[in-house]
Amino acid sequence: MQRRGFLRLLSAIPLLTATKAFSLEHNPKRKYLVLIELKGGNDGLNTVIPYNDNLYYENRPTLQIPLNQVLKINSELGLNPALDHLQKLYKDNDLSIIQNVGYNNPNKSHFTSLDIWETASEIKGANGWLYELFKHNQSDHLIDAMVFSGSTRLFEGENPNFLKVKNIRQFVKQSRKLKTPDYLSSDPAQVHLLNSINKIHKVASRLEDEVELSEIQSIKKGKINLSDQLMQTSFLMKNNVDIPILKVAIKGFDTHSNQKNEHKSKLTELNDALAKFTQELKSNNLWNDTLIMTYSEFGRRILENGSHGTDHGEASCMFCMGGKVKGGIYGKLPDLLNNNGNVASKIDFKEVYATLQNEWFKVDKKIIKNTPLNFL
Amino acid sequence: MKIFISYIFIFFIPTFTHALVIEDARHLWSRTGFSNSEFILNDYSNYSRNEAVALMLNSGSYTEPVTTLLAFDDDLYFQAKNKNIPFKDRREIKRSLKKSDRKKMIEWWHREILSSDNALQEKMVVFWHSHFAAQPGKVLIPYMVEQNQIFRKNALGSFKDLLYEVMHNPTIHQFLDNTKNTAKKPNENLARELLELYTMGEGDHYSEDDIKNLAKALSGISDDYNTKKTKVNYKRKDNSFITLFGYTGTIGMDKAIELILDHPNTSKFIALKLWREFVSSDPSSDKLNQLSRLFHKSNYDIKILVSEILNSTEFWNEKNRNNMIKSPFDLIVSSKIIIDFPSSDLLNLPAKMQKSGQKLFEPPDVNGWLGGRRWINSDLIIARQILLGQYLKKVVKFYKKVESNPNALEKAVDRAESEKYQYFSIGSSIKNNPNKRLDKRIKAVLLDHRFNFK
Repeated sequence: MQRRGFLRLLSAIPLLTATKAFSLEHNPKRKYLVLIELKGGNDGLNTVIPYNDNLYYENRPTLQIPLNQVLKINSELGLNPALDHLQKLYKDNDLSIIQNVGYNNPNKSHFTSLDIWETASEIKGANGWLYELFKHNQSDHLIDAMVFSGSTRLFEGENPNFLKVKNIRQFVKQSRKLKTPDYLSSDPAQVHLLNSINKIHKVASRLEDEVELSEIQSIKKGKINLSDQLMQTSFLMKNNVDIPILKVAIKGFDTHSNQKNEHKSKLTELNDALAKFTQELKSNNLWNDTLIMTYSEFGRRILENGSHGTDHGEASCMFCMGGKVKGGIYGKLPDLLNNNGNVASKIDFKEVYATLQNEWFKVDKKIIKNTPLNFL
Repeated sequence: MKIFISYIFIFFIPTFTHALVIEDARHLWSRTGFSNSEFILNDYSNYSRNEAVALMLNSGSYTEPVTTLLAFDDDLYFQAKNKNIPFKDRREIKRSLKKSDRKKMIEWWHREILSSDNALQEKMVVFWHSHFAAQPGKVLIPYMVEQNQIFRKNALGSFKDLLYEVMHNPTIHQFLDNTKNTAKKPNENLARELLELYTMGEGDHYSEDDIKNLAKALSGISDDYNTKKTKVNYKRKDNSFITLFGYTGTIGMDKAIELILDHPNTSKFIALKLWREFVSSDPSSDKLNQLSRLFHKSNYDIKILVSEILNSTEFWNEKNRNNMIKSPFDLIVSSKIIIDFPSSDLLNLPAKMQKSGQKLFEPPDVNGWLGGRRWINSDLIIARQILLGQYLKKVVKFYKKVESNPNALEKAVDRAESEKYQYFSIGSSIKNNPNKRLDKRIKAVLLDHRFNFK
């Protein structure tokens, strides 16, 4: 094939010589991070509910989750009734819930706050924090990350090493038609295009080499929801396509009005997708190699607004799941009394990142200096 | 002495000797929306840069839509609002109206884009649509169509008028929950985005208190289907004394807009956003301040601002050429004009545009399209190829049918290959090779990766 020759020529990366059957046995070096972005700012208080706090009920006259529906996980906290799979993971000690996560001087713009989360920096135009992490630690993966949906900022930098792919099946098919560039350029915008094209060919060739065509063709076509995105994620993992970070996203958490039903349906979608994904990982012996983390740009106001919704707030909760996770609650109960109507940040999200950096990726060069938590 | 000479050059070249060369003409033409105004490309040597800029901007002056505007079933829309009709029935009416009119609206604009000779105006309408981004989910379709006319009329007019009219159109109020914002039950959604995205830009120049107060100023607003404008319900409006940007009193929407427009960050934020629409590198802070002052002093005249941007040395700098990534809109408009394709047949264009990352009337979120490098990622590169590939297939098919003029396709291919339209030369093995099939030749031009740039 034309692109094969080109790749050999262009890159020093040796194409894996047709060893279709990579071992599927547990590989201690293999580690996956699956990131789930909850777009819009997830309401932490109605996700992990402080059901014994009277202030919760006072502040949420129409949005409160009735006590008898809360999925209690200890004497103070319970999960939204949509999250029964997470309750089960919690019981299995495979879920850690990190409370009051945010950062100092919180910004309430979706876009700026997401940038702060994804770059771990308040400097505009900073590189993604995972880009920096891999850059400083000599990644030799096929690519560092594949993004199925949501922001790609985490992986952006001068010489990014990720792909955005909506659907693997169409990606493989359509990439065949993409012409290999026959010119070079030094202009950054042009280089951006040429690099992207080269990466497309590199990953598509690998997929074609590693995976039977019939398997690729069995993947669901067209637009894919959260659950499908996670199925494609596990497809890549099962087939050893050497991409350590996989990112998916689910929209609809910006619940300024009519929050009750919307939030419930979003959490249900998340819960059901995770249930299926967990099962898939477990049956393929991947659960211990995988860390799943949810995040959102901010939480929401303690007091509901007049439109049966909640406006942009500050700290919220995060979930980390996987076979290697030390289950439990990290952080205290949210303080609903002061701080201008907001849940104050008590744990910096960078402490969570430091945990991934030190305890999951175990890299030599630390770019996040915060003290890690002990959920891994 | 050397310094002295270059000093003279800086001052005299722009006004005196800068007759356009073909590269200049093509640069101006491509950055201003691939206008049909062929004069710039044909007679470039007759014009100086300033003259060419002025002509280009005048060609973008307001023109009425060339395709027939949409008509809506007003009776049904009134029924949908009539509280005497049971809620369930009203909901059903709304649902069916949304379904049919949404499609009508999207097709209308695409057809207008393919038919209009005023590409600069369409480009600016897309720009303002992205700036005041709204999706039709929560919004009545006739309001969005009306909003599109506001963008059209003020595309290169006054930003003051534009902001005022946009704020008096119900679209963004419905989209950002402001119709629910009342004295008793405040909702900050629109207040925040009005400052962050429409006028001042995010930063320290406003506080969380400003947002709360601005929400009060914007409270009590609802829509009026008769006028397609907003109206104020004073019983629901917060009339308390508030302080906003140094002014204290009972503040309504118009006063708030006035205060926002007086704020120096507003002219700066809009000036920067427009600069980035036309120039590939950011302005120095001096340059930005100068533009911002000019814009403010001109009473927010968009044309004066854009003219200043297009006459800047940065715009004409060789380094800043052929390195902006075309939006999907640019891809289609430039192809259409380059091959002089007369048909406004939609060819499933809206769906293909969506896959390429620019579904008109459905921007990704309230921040609009970020554009620039974000037009390209692995997923979008492939989608763009499919968009153009399928467009070309239809073009070839169309031309083959035009029996009265068997050379039509050949002419289109010759046009596409000409230096006038391309900054890169097509390989000699393809160009002027009589043995190459015409459809292959046209593909060689438009599917060349360099065609992604302007």
